[in-house]
Amino acid sequence: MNIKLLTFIVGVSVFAAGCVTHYRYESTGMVTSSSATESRALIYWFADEGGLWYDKDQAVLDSDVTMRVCGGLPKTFVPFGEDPGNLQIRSNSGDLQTVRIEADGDVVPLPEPGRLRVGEGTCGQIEVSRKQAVIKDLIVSVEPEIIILCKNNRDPASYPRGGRYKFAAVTRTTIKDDREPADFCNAE
Amino acid sequence: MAVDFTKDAHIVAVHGVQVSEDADITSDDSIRKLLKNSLSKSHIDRNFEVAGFFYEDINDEAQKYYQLLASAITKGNPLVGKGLKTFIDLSGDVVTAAKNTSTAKKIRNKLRKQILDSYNNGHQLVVVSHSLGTIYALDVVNDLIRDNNFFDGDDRTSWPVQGLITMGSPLGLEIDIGGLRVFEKRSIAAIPDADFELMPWHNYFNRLDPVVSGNVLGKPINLRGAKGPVEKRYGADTRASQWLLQGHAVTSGRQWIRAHTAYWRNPKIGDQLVTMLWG
Repeated sequence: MNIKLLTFIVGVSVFAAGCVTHYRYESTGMVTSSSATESRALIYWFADEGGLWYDKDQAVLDSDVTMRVCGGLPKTFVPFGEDPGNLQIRSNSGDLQTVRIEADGDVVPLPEPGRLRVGEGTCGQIEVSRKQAVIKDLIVSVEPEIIILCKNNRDPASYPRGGRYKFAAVTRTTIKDDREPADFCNAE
Repeated sequence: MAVDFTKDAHIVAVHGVQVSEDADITSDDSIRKLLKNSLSKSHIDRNFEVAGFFYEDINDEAQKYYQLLASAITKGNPLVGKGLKTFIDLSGDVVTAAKNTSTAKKIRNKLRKQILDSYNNGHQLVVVSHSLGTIYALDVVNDLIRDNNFFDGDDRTSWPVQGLITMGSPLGLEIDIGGLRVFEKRSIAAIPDADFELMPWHNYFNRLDPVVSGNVLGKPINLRGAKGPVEKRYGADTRASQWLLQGHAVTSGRQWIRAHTAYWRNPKIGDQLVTMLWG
């Protein structure tokens, strides 16, 4: 009885584990903080690839991309608009839009910062080849650009200064245990 | 009392179904670690306190009679006894929430009191909840919004809860077992006179999480963008009630029940908390 139960439990555990490989995608860049100093930044997201327990192939990505800024607060780019959705930072409490994007892609300051309703404005976006990116555009070796459109007076560390920032080529790492992104602040 | 945003931020971590006791639950430790990592990796300092909200002992107390009965029935067969007692423990937690018993009310009152203790001391607070705990968390936030003493429009200093995070939530499921609607749809309370501010609700889900999909075998959910079962069920209601419901589909390298427990180690949860509290 005990052996049968043990075999069953071990079997179910192995069965449920499947053979999915977990990946972390990352890209780093430099941004300008609100106090005009240069800071390192990193964007990251995760993906699973492999076979499910019932032998079906699976390749899925997180829906959103998180940005960490050295000396600043993190931000999340979420899919917005028509499926699959362009990656955007949606406005948070107290956000003020400070710049806008011209038709040719240039980022220009607004004469007056405009207060945005929570969740109803765009405070950042990711572009690849000057087009708004969806998560599937961010493949290895692509060099994304991050555009920041807002500031928040409640906490100056909330956003880098409004502008367009070029990030390095996307890399992918297989994750064993620690899911935390690299220590980008201290990177060489 | 009004929230003073210069004071330490408070986070309440609400666990889900458990088979242990309150003293064994480490949900608060997990959230504390995620927050610390997020702040330290970005080289920033912010003051915060994480407290767990524990209700397993309340549930265990309510199930005592059934556990004694199980012991009596399975006397002489400890393995079967253990199995039956675990089943009662797990399913009892769900039934308590589903039937809205006096135990469920006791749990909600305890959570409400814990939140208001922070508010009455002027701390901003975000609730992070997992699994079955997401139901209690949503109910209590709704209850506080309906209370005329709080949530005075755009004035966030009058908000005892600044935002809600749910992880691996069954709130998107519509299950009817013998006439018992297990996760009945909640009505979302509207924040009156809020022109700019919305109640942020960030819902994290894994496509392979059986508690999210309702598929016992853990088959994946087909998604459109980041709209999972919770977003489909509550999206329109939240928009109409000054809430911002944002779905976040995540991956973890885990399947089935292990996908359901992996949220506690996802660094994105820590980053989201930092953004909600200070960003």
